[in-house]
Amino acid sequence: MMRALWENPQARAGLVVFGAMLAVALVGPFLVADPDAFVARPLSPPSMDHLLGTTGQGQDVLAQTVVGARTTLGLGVLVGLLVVAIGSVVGGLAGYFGGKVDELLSLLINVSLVLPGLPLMVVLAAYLPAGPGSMAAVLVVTGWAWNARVVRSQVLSLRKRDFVDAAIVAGESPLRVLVVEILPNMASLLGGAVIGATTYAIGAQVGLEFLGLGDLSAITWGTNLYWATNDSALLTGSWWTFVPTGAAIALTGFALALLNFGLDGVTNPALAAGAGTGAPGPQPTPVRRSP
Amino acid sequence: MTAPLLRVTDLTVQFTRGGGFRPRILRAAHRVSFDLHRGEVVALVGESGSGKSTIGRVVARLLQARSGTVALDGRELPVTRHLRADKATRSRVQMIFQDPYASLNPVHTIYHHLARPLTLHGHGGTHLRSTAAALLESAGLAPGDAFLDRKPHALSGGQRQRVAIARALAPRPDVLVADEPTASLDVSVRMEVLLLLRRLLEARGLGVLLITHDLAAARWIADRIVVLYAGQVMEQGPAESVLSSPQHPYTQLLVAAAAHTSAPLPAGPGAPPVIDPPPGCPFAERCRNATTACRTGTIPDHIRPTTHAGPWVTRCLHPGS
Amino acid sequence: MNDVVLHIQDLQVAYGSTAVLHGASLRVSAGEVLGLVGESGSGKSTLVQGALRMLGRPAVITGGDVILDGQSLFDLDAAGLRRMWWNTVSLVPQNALNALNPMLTIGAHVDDTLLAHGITDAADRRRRAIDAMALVDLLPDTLTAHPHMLSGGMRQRVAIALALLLEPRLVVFDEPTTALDVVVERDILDRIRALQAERGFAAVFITHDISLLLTFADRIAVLYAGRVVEVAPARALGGPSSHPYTVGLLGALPPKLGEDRTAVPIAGVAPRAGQTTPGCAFAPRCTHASPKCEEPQALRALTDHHHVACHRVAGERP
Repeated sequence: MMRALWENPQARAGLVVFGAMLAVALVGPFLVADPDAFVARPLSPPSMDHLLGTTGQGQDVLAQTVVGARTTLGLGVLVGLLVVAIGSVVGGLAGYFGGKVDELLSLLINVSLVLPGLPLMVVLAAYLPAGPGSMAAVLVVTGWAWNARVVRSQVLSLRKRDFVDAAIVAGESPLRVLVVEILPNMASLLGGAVIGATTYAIGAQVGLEFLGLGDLSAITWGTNLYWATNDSALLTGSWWTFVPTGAAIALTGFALALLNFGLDGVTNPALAAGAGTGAPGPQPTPVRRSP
Repeated sequence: MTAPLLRVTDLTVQFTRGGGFRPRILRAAHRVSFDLHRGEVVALVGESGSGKSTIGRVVARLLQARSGTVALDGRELPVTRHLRADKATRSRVQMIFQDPYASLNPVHTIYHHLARPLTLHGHGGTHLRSTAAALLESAGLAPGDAFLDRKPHALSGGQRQRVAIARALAPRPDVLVADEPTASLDVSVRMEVLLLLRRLLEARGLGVLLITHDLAAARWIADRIVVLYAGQVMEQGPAESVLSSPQHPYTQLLVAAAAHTSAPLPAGPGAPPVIDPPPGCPFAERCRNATTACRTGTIPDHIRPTTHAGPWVTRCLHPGS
Repeated sequence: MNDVVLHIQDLQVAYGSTAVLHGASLRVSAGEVLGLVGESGSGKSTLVQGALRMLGRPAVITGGDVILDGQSLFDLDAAGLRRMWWNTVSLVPQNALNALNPMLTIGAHVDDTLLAHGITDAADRRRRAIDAMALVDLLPDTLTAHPHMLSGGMRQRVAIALALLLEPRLVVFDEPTTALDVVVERDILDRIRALQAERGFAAVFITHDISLLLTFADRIAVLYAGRVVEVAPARALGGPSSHPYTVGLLGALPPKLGEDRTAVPIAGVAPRAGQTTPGCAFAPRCTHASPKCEEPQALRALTDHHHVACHRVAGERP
């Protein structure tokens, strides 16, 4: 599977770019200046001393962008995995057992889906104490239900397959059937779900922090943008205070999207082979006589 | 006649379709009774909607029955209660499914498919791999070791079905329910699989419940045949006798249609009444000998004892016409 | 040969770079049923659908020619082929449920087909639709039903009615009764025969059930490993001058009532689709194999109607 992903050009591009971002997040902070320190005149444009200039509080923008990656990406990936894990458990149990269990869990899933996400996010973020734990909690509470729904419907359909009945007749316990027999058949779906959930986590995190609902003392991509607007970046035309972070976010999202397309292409070869030629109607089998 | 290995008595299976004010009853099986002895193949035959697969699944504890009993060596199995069966019970009745590709998990190796039931039922231990290989060889896949690390998609249909048979034998069952085991296989491979089942049955003293719509195969491999229509037993008895001189009009229709001649059939096509079924014989609406008595009340069983293979029972008011 | 409707000459088809059909030839005349039998991997569906150029990507035709009603199908462009499809030749698929759109009523299917072939008058379409249903003994109100509301047998009758809508010269039946019960199957077969007698179309009937063909088809073509190994009148199949594979196939069937023989499976395993040898592909499993079997075996004529691709059988003829 990993080899197939690498051979797919879109997946490879996505993996490379996202991998680079992760590398920057892990190693970068050791290579740049202290992002909190006052290093030069505030709002100075990019120069040889400070490659991306300074913020409205005189801090090095490059340092802030690099350091911010760590929290944003780290939390994003963690939340992405958590959301899919919780969704898989709830959705998996609902789809496998059916009956009353499914009714109860589906009620839980549907209520979570119906609650308006953004207001809930805002309210929770406003009331919980600032910090990465709270941010993770907010994102997981508002994000798990969609995955649960997707997993549930896939498990429901796989449950009807004969190999599941065969495992039951052989004497496997329900939990083993779900985890060992059914879930591995959903590997690509779950992989895609993790990628999607990570994208969601990063985007929602940045959004909340931009609104000022995150931990303002932390250095993250979201808070970078918050402080940039707070310090009148747009009014003064100091584009370097928000463009680097914005570009980093966009690049990450783009990389994850490419990875997702690539994963689709690997699991559904018909997509990878290229879509139709655009000509209307069914195309007849071509005749190619070899010389 | 020795005591039967499996005795099914008055088995009824129902499903409710649609909710609201008037949910409809889908009667998949109605008061079905038959016996299976050790070393015997009993074929459940019928078309779609006959209930044969449903009965097989109840015996294998995959479906719940509404009423009736299934007894294994005299001991009743709880088929009308919750489906959770303990491993000891599970080990005694195993099942082979129609589509050999669908009944094997595409992401797991053949070894996994065999190791799990072997381990679950205490036949594992240190020589798990060689036990698994030996099982494959007894199902005709030699050398067994060569197949263990492959995945289902690398095998042909016939090979996959042999793996499925090996898997079913791992818990050392007494009863094997084979649900259309050859329907998805190539014609030249079908005989092999049926002969394998016969060989294994004789070697291990099993009883095989063969579910099939293929009358010719049933006649070839089965000792007794149970003919089902709309979930009810129309006729049952020694396979050769029932199929060479069928007494029930429905059996006569099946035999005539399966013969692939150009002679006209005794009845036309029609769907068995399984939803909210009317009283009386379910075949009455298609039967040219049907009278008013056929459409009301219970139809009696005509029983003809035979010298071998149990009695010949026909549920009809005008048998043999 | 009177009124040959379809003439497939030495057809070769590949999927991508894998050759699956290695030169197959067939002829079908008006009013006759040609049965096409083979197991999985033999190429029977590929043969007919490839000949009609109905196979999708990555199939490609790499050799041979196909003449349908006097016109070479390989010379036609996409537009010309689409005129041929359904007008001159139509297809009844294995599972009508797969071929019918679950969102559309039967009437909508009929209407679409007629419109696509230039029947613009609505009243004319309505009349033809009712006639089509009557042709297969279905009531006009079937036109208002959706596919899932009909039984398997009724859906297959709808598929047959659709195939005959434009009165084609050739109808291809691709395993039309495999998914049906034996009584319903008999009904469908009787109907096909009756319609053929009435309309005079040529029919190719693809199936894996050779016992069905022995009484239903006029001539039978047997496919093995991407090649036609025998074409014979149905009654002559399995006799002393039949191909060893045909004999083996018939011998592996359970005996019929009154037949006194033991079913014997064919030893060995059939080659998978795409595997090929220059000589006879059946030789490894044949009890009469000799070194001469490693040479290419062409279809040799034993009589005008009986061709066998086996040097041993052909050589024994005086």
